[in-house]
Amino acid sequence: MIAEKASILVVDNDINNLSIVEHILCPHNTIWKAMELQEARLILNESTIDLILLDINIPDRKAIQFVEELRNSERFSDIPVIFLSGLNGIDAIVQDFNAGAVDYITKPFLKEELITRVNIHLEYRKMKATLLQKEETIRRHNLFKERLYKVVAHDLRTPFSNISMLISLLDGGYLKPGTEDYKELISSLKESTKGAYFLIDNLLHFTIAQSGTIRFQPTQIMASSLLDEAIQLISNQAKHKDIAIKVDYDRNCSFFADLQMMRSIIRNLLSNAVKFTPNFGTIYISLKSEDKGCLLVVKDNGIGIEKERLEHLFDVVIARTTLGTGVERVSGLGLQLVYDFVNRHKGTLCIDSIPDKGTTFSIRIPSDKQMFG
Amino acid sequence: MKTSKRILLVEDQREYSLMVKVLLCEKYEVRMASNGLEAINEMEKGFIPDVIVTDVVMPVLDGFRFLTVLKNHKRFKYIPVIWLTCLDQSNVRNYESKRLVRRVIIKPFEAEKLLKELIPAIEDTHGIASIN
Repeated sequence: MIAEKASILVVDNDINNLSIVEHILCPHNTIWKAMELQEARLILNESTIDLILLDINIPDRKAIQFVEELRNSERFSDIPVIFLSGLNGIDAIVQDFNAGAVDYITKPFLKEELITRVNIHLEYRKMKATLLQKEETIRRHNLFKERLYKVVAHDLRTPFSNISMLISLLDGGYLKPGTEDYKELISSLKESTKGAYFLIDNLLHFTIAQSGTIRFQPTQIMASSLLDEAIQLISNQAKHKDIAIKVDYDRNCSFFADLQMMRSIIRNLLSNAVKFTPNFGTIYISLKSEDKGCLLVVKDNGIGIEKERLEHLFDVVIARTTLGTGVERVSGLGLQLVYDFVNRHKGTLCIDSIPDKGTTFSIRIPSDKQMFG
Repeated sequence: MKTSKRILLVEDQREYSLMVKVLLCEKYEVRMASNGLEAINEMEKGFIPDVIVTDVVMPVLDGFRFLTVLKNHKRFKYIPVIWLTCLDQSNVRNYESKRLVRRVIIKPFEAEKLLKELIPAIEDTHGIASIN
């Protein structure tokens, strides 16, 4: 029933009782014995105990106080305690249940009774832990989604409200086609509309990936053509910030990858690089063949990522939204996708970053079917 | 005839700034700056506006700190300030009721609405600058 050996602490001031309990339980459990409460405290502090069998007849109600002490402590409050008691103590036991015991066994007891009760509570404890873990996972997912909605809504709000304003300017005849202001506004709103579309695209990919229904169909893809396409897409954004893009490709590099996912990985990496690189910065993109696949490196000399943040970059709850160098908001959604998609390819993702110096993303993707296994 | 009012428009979001400028430039002389620091540089270089229309959330020097700099400046402290912001919060509105800024306008995203709110706010400041 219980796969791993559980650690059980038995506290009884009668050495014979201790030996009997140990004898009954020890084949399937690790037994810690204590004749004094002080000894029990020491054992608790130094090892991980799953269940406590406590003789309630320890004088001066010390046993009850001991249980209360456990319930009030942060570390031990969830360890189940089973009282061991002589028959004459039953009335007291019922009263003392409030102290926080989960069960009691009266002495003398049947071997089977002890084993069954102990196992029930060990199992129950295990289930409770699993449940709590699941609850925590759900809580984190909800938190992440909440944050995501907020950021996405914010990021979509700006371009949409600007588009609305532009329409009213045109409609009211305030903005004359052909003027410098007109040209700049149209070209800039074209970009932000594209950005909004990209965000919606990311969101859609992310939702599909999360639901587990994503289609993964790897094929042989020329890496350089995918990169060219992605560079084309960010070239205007880069131009706005006078960012130079330098490329160094091995044109023969190919991925054995899913086209949509690979496209998303590359676009997100480049888009992040542009967002986090200041005006007049440089982004280096290199592509080369390696034994283990194809290595894609996107390096920028932007604002970098602090060490603390870097460690939690893929932790959906801790990772917070940051501002790009031009106050572009970055949801972290893109990077989540990159991480998830690279994993699906059995590839690796490496990030080196120094604040204020820049960030380097290195991605290895298998280059043929064999490597994929 | 007296020359038209000079407006310093401080807004980090270039598209919005341009659109506000398009709406104001028929009536006023408009200069744009993308944050508080740039605005102060413009003023130091000699563009002394009759009214400052500024965003609040901006990089480098935001609207709050920009206001503090202005209020502590010998020559600039009397220039009326209008906040044009997305922050519809009481702590922002308090700046208006405490008369630290002349008006708080929650950014409209329609030309007519913006004109209807912003022009009277700008006109309202007439002559007060010197008394303040």
